[in-house]
Amino acid sequence: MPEPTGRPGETIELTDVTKRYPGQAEPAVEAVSMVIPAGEVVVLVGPSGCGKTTTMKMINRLIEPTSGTITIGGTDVLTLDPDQHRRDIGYVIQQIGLFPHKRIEDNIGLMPKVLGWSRSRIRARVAELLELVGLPADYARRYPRELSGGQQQRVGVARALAADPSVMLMDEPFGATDPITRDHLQNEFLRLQREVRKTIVFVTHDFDEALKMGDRIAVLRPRSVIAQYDTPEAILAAPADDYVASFIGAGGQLKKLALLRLRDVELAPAPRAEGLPRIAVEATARDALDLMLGEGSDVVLVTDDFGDDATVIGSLDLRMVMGAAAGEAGNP
Amino acid sequence: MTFAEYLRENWITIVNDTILHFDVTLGAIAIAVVIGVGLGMLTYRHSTLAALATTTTGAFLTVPSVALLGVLIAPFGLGVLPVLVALVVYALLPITRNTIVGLQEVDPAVVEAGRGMGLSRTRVLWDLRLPLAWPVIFAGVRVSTQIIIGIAAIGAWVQGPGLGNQIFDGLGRFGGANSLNQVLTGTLGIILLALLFDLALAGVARLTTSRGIRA
Ligand SMILES: Nc1ncnc2c1ncn2[C@@H]1O[C@H](COP(=O)(O)OP(=O)(O)OP(=O)(O)O)[C@@H](O)[C@H]1O
Ligand SMILES: [Mg+2]
Repeated sequence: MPEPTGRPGETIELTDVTKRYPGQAEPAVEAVSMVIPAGEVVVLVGPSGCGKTTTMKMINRLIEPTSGTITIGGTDVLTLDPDQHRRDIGYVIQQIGLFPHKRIEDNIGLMPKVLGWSRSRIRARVAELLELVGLPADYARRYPRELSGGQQQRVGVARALAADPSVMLMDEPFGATDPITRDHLQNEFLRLQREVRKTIVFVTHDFDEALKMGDRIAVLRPRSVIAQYDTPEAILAAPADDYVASFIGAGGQLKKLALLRLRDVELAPAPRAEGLPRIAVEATARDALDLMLGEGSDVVLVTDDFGDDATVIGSLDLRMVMGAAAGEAGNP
Repeated sequence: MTFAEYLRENWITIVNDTILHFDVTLGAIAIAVVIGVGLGMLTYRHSTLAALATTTTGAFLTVPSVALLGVLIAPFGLGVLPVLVALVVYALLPITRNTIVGLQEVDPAVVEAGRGMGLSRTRVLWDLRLPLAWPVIFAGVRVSTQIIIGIAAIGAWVQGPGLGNQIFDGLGRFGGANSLNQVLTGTLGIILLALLFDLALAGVARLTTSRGIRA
């Protein structure tokens, strides 16, 4: 694994930001205020046309706000040169938008080249980023059309990271992939973010994706009005109103369990009994429940790692899972 | 004299006319590419300006070639110069229009990605739009070439160079010795030259288009 690179994230602050498109009666975004803490992933989730993309593009000034202020690391972005400003922000657009006439290495390396990096430094950076997003090194020489959709999306993420931005804006970055690939990309992305610690604004339609990816979630109403802005756990535990509840949809309790890693649950000592099902501490309480139902056992052993030779470090029973669902049991 | 005998006896003149015909066409296309692509790059972002550029260069194409050449004698005299200018004028429409359309029709996602990463407008134009529009622009270049390679024959009327001289000579002495052979030589020569020229341009198009967007 390459060295985790460079600059940590910076805090983004939106104050009373409004966008009124010319000739439209209603503003697309109305008086939004929110703080996106440095190094966190904040997910904007809301129905189509509610203003998610508009809100995000005002941060990198692809769209200029009609009123209000946006600061990054305390600096008002309107005082910066737009191109200069955008170079500090990685931008992953929903349609991927790779440059079809450039090889993957030149897609990723374009911004470093514009910034005047040496060829050897660019080559090293491209290799590092391809490894980071889990693509083989020889893909550098390929053209975008020689990659699958999911692979292209990874290149899009690598390209956005190329000049080591402190902030990443990601507009439905995994939208165009099948559920299995998406799950895979999400996991890789979370692993990546644990290393790079950027400040990330992540847009999605999919509330389950929001729960999985977000340190915080902003549930938006039309005009980007914030219905609730909190951690996934807090939103699941106490949706602010029916609108937010409708986003959570059915199975809210199971979703809560899916957020809870066994690592964070206080385990009971392992019983002596033989033949109990085993589950790794990396798994979630929901996985544990699934295993209990599948194996017809109300107790499972928790191991420190995957595989048969992993050490048992405790056990979990159905009552403890119910306790976790009820709320406090797991929270450290 | 049979056609074959005529060719054998006059091949030096014929080859010479063909080379000059090729030269004046190539020169005109080169100049038209600079002007047409430049015009396209300057106007593609503004729909009124773009329409103006297309309409104007389109109007040029409707002027009868004899009339245009006649008008051009006044400022440019006789010989190669008025022919060159006329051919440039006729070559403009396809190149300008295809440049405008090609630049406008670049995938907006590509442009947004470029702007979003902090590329300047100029860089987006040169690094993204132009290479991506290139196949479309070059298709315009090929159409222009086919158009003016025939028109170049009329250039002989103002003492311009090329295979037109064979045709005009022949027509001027119609019924005389070898007149039909001359007209035939000029006409077939131009058709052949046009075919070879287009083949060569197809090769250039391939070489100058990124492998990532080649058909
Ligand atoms: N350039 C524009 N001119 C006028 N109106 C626009 C423009 N862009 C967006 N809008 C309008 O602003 C509103 C918000 O659009 P936006 O693209 O931000 O929505 P979104 O939440 O990203 O939607 P989706 O989930 O479908 O991508 C919509 O009603 C849209 O029609
Ligand atoms: Mg959107």
